[in-house]
Amino acid sequence: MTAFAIAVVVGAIVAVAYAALAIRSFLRVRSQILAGVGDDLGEEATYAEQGGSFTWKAGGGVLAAVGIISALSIGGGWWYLVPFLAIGSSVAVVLAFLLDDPATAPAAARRAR
Amino acid sequence: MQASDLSPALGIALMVGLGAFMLTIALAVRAMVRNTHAFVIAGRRIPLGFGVGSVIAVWTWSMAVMMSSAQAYNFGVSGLLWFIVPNGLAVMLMVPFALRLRRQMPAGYTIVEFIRERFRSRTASSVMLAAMLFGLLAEICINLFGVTLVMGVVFGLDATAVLLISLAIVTVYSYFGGLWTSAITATFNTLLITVPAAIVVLYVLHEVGGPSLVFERVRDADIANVHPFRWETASAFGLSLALGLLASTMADQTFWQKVWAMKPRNLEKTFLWAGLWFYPIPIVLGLLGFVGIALGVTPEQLGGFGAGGVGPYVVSHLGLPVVLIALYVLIICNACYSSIDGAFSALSSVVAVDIVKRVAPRVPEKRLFAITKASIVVAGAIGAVVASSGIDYVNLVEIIFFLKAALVVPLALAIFWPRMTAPAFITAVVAAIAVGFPIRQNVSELDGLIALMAVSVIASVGISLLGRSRFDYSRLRESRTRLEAGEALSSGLGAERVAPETT
Repeated sequence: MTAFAIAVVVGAIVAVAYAALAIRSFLRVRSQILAGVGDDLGEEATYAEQGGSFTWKAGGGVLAAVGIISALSIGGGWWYLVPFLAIGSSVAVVLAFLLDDPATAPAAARRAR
Repeated sequence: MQASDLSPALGIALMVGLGAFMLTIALAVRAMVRNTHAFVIAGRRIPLGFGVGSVIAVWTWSMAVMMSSAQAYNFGVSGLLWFIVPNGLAVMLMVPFALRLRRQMPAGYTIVEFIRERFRSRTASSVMLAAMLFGLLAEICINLFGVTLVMGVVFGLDATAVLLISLAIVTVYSYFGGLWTSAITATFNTLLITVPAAIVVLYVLHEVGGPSLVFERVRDADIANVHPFRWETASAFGLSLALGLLASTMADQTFWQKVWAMKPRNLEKTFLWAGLWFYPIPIVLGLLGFVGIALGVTPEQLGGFGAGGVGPYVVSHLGLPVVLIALYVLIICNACYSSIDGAFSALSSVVAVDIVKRVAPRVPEKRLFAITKASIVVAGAIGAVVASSGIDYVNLVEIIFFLKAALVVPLALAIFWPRMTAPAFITAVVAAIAVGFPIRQNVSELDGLIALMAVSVIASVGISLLGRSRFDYSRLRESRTRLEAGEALSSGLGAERVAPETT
């Protein structure tokens, strides 16, 4: 029951942050669109700088997923990890919103903008 | 195990309540969408947060979240592994294709449009158009099946009523706002899937005595249940699913529409993060399948819904608090709504760019915008007719996805290999289906898929090598030049403000 209680509290905090950042992002995009900002087609460099380490990242992700699912066959204790990873999916979106926000994005991301 | 006595009115209230929330968002978005271009491509300004959130939700099909429980129930840990790992990988593998195509064709709208520009062949683009339309309709139907299943098991609601209510709700809110509505509502769907899934599953595990007890019972039921790498599972469904899933992303306009709609600098991050962070959703809901094994739920108890009903059955037969059962139902409804509105949005882009603009290139913007929006209503009506007709549309959907797998190799080569030709593309698709489909029907799904892929590769490469032509990919960029010139061009779709971002 402790894990359930922790999940409820953490889930509630994440949900509030998620909703607040989503609304903020929506309002920012909405004001840009209504101000008449045009399509973002990107420059050559925008595409060239992406994808370099894709194989490692995707491969690592697949191995992590295989590892987590395999861990389910070791014992019940590992099962507690999985629900918190599901909340982690929402945390990932929260981070994505923060990376997009001019007020909170790292300097490199702001320069790329 | 006793079924919770829940009023069907609660089930309808959950569907309608969620729909009302989505409609509120859609109405807020409405002001951002003034023309067809904004409706189908969202100004190519979808930011990272909405990109990641919406791709996760769109890929989280209502049927898929229940199938993860079903595969855990049927095959144990290996079922979960073979079902889930290819799912996330299929999303991540969009990265190289997305980067390549968006770079070559930055102002594109649809994958059918790419095929038209790439091959200049009416037959090739017609094949692609038909595949997209059938694929998107199949996506709508299979997601409706998911919500029908959960409402049937938990509330005993009539399937036809659930189908019609769900379709009406998603059609109404998708009508306002197009891709913007789809991206924003889907992002909220991701929140409403992930956090409730964690809470519901943890409570279920507590209610049945804790994960250790469940694990022991699952192992005692059959030691093979806790073996993660069983060949039997791979051959039963794992390998064919893995190949089929690649087609589900790469040959799906739902994903390509997002490729062309998001900010270019976020392409890699969006699909990589979405693929990675999709994983926990089916894993956590898969645990309900283990609970089903531990409780000794039999296929007879699941009735006509089969193993797919094990998740809803467990949740509704443990005497959980009503609020948790409602949360579980909302998870499935969210998965259903987000996937259907994504399909509606993709369908509207195909209708606008690849049908209306082809048939009537000079159609006035106002009329094009009206037709594009109306196409969502028409698709909803067709979906309702198909889904309520009583045909075995689950089988139909499986067939359509099998056939879509024939597109993977020719499409990948069209994107990356300049020597790929239109005759090779058409022959590869048609011959692969002609050979693979009978084998699938008469031998096995896996054999059929292997044959389909083999023919597809041989025909694509062999026929292309017979010719000497090489496609100049810079021709695809011409569409960007036309957009920057401000023309409403071949597929300009009323884009009145199309300057590149200068900030």
